[in-house]
Formats: sequence, C-alpha cells, structure tokens
Amino acid sequence: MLRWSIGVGLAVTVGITLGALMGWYPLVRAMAKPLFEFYRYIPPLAWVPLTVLILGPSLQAAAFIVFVGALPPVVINTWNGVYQVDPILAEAAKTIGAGRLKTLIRVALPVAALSIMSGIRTAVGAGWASLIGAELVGAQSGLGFIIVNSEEAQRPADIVVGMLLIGVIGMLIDFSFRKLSAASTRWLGAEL
Amino acid sequence: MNGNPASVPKLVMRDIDKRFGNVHALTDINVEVHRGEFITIVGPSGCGKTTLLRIAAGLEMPTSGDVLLDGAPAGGPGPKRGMVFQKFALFPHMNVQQNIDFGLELKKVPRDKRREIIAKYLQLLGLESFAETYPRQLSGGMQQRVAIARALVIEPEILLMDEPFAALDAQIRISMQEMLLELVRQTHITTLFVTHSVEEAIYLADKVFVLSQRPAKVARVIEVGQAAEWKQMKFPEAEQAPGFLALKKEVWSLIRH
Repeated sequence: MLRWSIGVGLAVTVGITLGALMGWYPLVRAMAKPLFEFYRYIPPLAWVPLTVLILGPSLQAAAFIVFVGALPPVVINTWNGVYQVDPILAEAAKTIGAGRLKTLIRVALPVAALSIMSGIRTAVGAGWASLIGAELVGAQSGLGFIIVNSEEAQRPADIVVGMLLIGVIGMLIDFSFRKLSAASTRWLGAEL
Repeated sequence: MNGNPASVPKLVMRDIDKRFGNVHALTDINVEVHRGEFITIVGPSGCGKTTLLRIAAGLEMPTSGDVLLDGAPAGGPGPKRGMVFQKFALFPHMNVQQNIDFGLELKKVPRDKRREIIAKYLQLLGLESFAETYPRQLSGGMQQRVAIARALVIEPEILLMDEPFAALDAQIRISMQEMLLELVRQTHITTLFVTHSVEEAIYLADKVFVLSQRPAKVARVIEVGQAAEWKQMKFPEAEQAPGFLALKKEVWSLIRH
C-alpha cells in the first residue's frame, strides 16, 4: 500500500504540474507533447526490468512503476481541462491585472478541477494495476509476488485467491476514491 | 499623468485599421475619450464595434494605428483599462465577493482596506445581500453588476464596456442603463461603451460615435452633452423627448447607409 500511495501521490503532483503547463503554455505543449505521446505507449510493465536493474527490487522501484502507470491520465485530464477553459476568463483576468501564471493557478486550474478529479480517479486504478504487474515480475512480497510464488508451487487455488483479492482491493480503492471525489465534486459543483 | 488633465485625453485611438485576412473590419478610425466623458460607439451588427473595443483594451492589436492612454502607448491589457464583457466572464469558482476581491488582491491592497472597498462597491451596485453567492446562482443582470464592480474596484483610468446589456432582457436592460448613469454620476469614471442599440447609445452618452458598415469608419460624431433634456428623465419618458427622437432618426439614417 505504501508503494502504491507514494507512486500515486507523485503521479498526481507531477501530473497536475506538467498537464497544467502543457495546457496553458503553447511552447511547453509543443515541446512536451511528442515526448509524452511516445512515453504513453510504453506500458508500465516494460519499465520494470530497467527499474529493477537500477533501483533493485526495492520500495522505490515499485513506487516508480506505480508512478509510471498513474501519470498519463493525470497529465491528459489536467491538460485538457486547462486547455478548455473559456479564453474570455483569461482575458478578464488580464484586464484586472493577473499575469499568465497567476491566471493559471487562480482561475484555470480551479475551473478545470472536475476534469482533473476524474484524471486522478483513473490514475488511482491504473496505479494499482501497475503495482500488481510490477510485483509479478520483480518483487519479493505483495499480492503479485504471492501469485507468482503459488504458480511455482503449483497451487492454483492460492493463485485464484490472490487474483480475487487484487480485484476486491482495487474495487475498494476505487469505491472509496469515488466517494471522496463525489464529495469534492458536490462542493465544486455548487460553485461551478 | 495628472499634470494637464484637460488637454491630454484619457484614451486616444489614432488611425486605427484592422484586417482579419481578407476581411477589412475597421479603417481610419479616430476616437478620443476625455477624462470623465461617457462615449458610446454604435454601429450596424457585424461592423467591428467589438473589435474596436478589444483594440482599445489591448486584447487585440490593430493592423495599423495607435492606442494611447494618458498620452503614452497603451500596450497589452492591464488594470488601467477595466473591461466589462457581454458574456459577463465572471470566475465561476469564486463567489461575488471573491470575484470583486481578486483584482484588489492582485493590486496588493492590504486586506482590511480590501474589505472596506468591497463593501462600498457591493453597496454601490446593490449587491450587498449577494456577497457569498456564486455567479451561476445569479440572474444575468446581477452577474453583470458583479462584473462592473469587478472592473471598477481597481479604479481603472477608463472603463471599457462591450455591449454589456445585450444579453439581458428589455426591462432589466433599462434598469441597468439607469443604474449605470447613476454610477457614472457618482464615480465620474471615464467610459467607452459599445452597443448596437441606438436608444442605448443616445441615452447614455455625452458623445456618440456612429460607425458605418464594413469596413467601419466613423460616420459621424454626435455631441449629446450632460445638458440633454432626457438625462434627468427615466424610461419611458426619456425616449419620448423630442431631442431624443431627432437624434435617433439621425443615427438610424447613418447606420442604414
């Protein structure tokens, strides 16, 4: 769970920052978009061998794989959300003395909050899936590791139990996050 | 800048020409707005009035020509030129008070001073009971009052208004016009106001600039002045004053050509 939290937390922080800059500054978008599109098509699992080679089968390695899997939805949703903010709001902000960055932080990001929230929700699930994937190939503990271990020990029942647990925990995570985001959406929705 | 207020106009638009690709929107436009004046610009639909005002605000650059503020090149948009948009453009995630406060915060006005100023403008625009309300809970007229307060609160040199009442229904529109005149009397704010409504242009203005069809030129400048008989009247009497009707006929004949 720690692996997952660190990875998702990082993905949210980095993703919102990167997505916001890409959505707001055409120059950043022009530079970052091709790289990002390229990165997006490398599945998180493909990062595992290199990560384990460099970081060893560690907490950092697992968190990194979670990060890699959870980042794209946060970036894409933040970018789209910010990009779609009505330009007239930015003009209004300019005429009362707000600079471009100030407008991004105080106007565009809050207005894009709903889109960003749904990106985070997707990231939460994607992070969980990548974590299990990472454990399948490169960990000494965790549910994914238990499954692989059971395969070697020829215990199909344990494998199925492991899979069920992964599904149930994934659903629980998503459920609790949905509750959380519904509450904050209600709060935001009252304003927007 | 306050040295010689009488001779240096607040805002000068000199030889403005604007093209969008093949479309020639504005040509040879000269507008001067002096301190404390209320200027309206009226013209046929699609003649480029809004473009002209956006140029005045710095939101759009002219193809050629200059915009001067207090005699100096005006440059990009900023807090010296307050803008009120037809579509209100309030910040949806901020309540009325926060919308008004944002400009003061950007201006780095101390917090307790801000509270005082906000209270004054809420009162001036009849918004006292809506301080905590969010824009989407307000009617169009109320939203536009907030937008006017947001623009005025930072004490711009000039207030630019882009068909601010066009999205409102007729009754609200009239009460907003009366309110605006009253507000101008109290604050002496210099105003440049664009509209397609001939009645609105005449009712509000000290001076009306009538634009022609595209490419728009200034067809005529009509001095109305504070002395006009209907300035002290309300609707519907104001519209029936003989002087008002004569001006209305004059403006219409210019717009039709």
